[in-house]
Amino acid sequence: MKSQSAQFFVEGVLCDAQIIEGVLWLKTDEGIQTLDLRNRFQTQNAGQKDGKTITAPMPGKIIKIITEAGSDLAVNDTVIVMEAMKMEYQLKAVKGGTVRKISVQVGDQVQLGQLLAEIEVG
Amino acid sequence: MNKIKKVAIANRGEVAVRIIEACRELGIQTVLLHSEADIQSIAYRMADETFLLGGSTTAESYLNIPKNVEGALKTGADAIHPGFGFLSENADFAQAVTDSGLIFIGPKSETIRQLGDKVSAKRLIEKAGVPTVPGYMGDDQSIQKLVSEAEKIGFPVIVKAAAGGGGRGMKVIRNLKEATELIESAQREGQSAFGSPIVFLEKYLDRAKHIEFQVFGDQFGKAVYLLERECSVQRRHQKIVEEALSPSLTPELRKEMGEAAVRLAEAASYNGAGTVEFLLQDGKYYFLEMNTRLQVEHPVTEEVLGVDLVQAQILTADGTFEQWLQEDLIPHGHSIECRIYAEDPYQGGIPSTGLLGFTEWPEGEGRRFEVGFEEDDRITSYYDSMIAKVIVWAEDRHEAIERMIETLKDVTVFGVHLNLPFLVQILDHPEFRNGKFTTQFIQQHFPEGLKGVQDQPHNKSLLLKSLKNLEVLAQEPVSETPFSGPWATEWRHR
Repeated sequence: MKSQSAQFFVEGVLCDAQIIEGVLWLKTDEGIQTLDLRNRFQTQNAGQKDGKTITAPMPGKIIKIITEAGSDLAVNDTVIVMEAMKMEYQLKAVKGGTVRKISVQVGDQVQLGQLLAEIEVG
Repeated sequence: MNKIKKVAIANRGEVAVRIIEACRELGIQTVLLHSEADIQSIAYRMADETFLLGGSTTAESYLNIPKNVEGALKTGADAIHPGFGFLSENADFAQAVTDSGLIFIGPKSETIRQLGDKVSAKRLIEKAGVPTVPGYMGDDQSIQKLVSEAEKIGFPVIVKAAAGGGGRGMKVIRNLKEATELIESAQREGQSAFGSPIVFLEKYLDRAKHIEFQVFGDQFGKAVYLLERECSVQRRHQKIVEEALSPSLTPELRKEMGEAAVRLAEAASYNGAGTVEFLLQDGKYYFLEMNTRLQVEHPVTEEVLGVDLVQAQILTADGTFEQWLQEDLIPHGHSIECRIYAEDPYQGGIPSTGLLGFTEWPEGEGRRFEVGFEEDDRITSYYDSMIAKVIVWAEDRHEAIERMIETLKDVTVFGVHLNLPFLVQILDHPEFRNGKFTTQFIQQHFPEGLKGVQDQPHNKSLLLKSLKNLEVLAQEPVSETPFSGPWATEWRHR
């Protein structure tokens, strides 16, 4: 539910930071500020706007494959679920079509931008 | 031989910690009577024993008289300390405690009953010769009588539920036109919230200061006053900042008000810690109410007088307390307390709940923290949102203000929003600094907290880069070796 807290310098500013239940907390001498991460990726198109690929929006782990290769897809259907920073993210189809290929397996650790699925649009 | 060897604490949060610490110093064992939710609290981990009262709602736990008594008996406690709020001023509870053979750390139940009802308390204080706010508290509760009395007093008039307390059940009537409707509304609310439709009326002092005197009666009912606290910084009658001493009292006024407070305590044969609240306007003081419990803001009195009120309470209940001499109670320096609420000041103070992450209370000279929760505890919405108090002491008021501002800026709590930036704005405000603020202060200058006054800092660039750093760190195994990522020039893993 929460990351380790850490302290580091960024742009010459001393920062304390921690992610707790999907929210980034940051302390500097300006005070405390937050960034809600829960909507950032959860239903965002992860991948190209043409809908032909789904790529990982952040480093993390694949925890569920929802739509297998060969199945039909409607807009906003969840294809893959990944986990990062103790939060789950549903990666969804931007356009309808058919899943051509799933390039990962459950349990795989993936990098930012890594190709996860290819979709035949239309 | 001491009677009290084990104290059961019928409370929670930072006051439960406070009582445990006082008991430890006296060599007394502690039992925490707690709710389900408060298993996640510092007091739970500190107490020698714990007893689960029931679920998480206050009704199931902290307001449940039989359960609290049962818990104290089952764990072999000799006494119960009720803290403040909850059952601390409930005469039935005090009665149930003593009926069961336990010692109630507080005044006698009859005293609580007498002073807890605003109507009978006011009559007692008139007998003790203390001025009261012009008002009406008669038996004739007909709307015609109440409206005509309000007119006699002179608007603005406040209508209060006689059985209410802590600032609840009160309405301000500004003119004759709205009198009927507001009085009837107050009667209805009094019935549903406190079980009684009886109301009384008081002249509304619209630019008054809230000055309260700490009194202490020993086991024989002999009382002294431990000087005053000013608590005029209030939001909807809920205190936020308190200090000792008040910047508004002359030594003569202090002596006069203190002696009046003592007269009342002795008239009531008061045992233990109590507080007499006054309103001060244009150099005149008026009795407001007497609280028959330890107060949240007791630390500022302790700081300027070098006393321990909680220990004094326990020893008084034990029959071994040696009362202070009035002439020995000489203040030194100035102390300020800020109540730390889990709320978002930039959104008008809406309560904030969540899992606590990293917390750091910056220890230092003249700084005192009373904290109820720490990292991995969950702050819920079952209770009052105060999670801690920050108290400072310094040689004078100016230094105390500076020290408090500095301390608040150095507090780090992740997981819930806190009112820290709001407190800093209050303390830095010219009207607070010059001491001229009244109970209208918050309403006048911060009606919606910091909303409309200041924006929450939002440095997008820093946020995104910090996020990147944390994501990278999460991929790395935990290690002590320094790491340099794309934007970090130096970091330290906790």
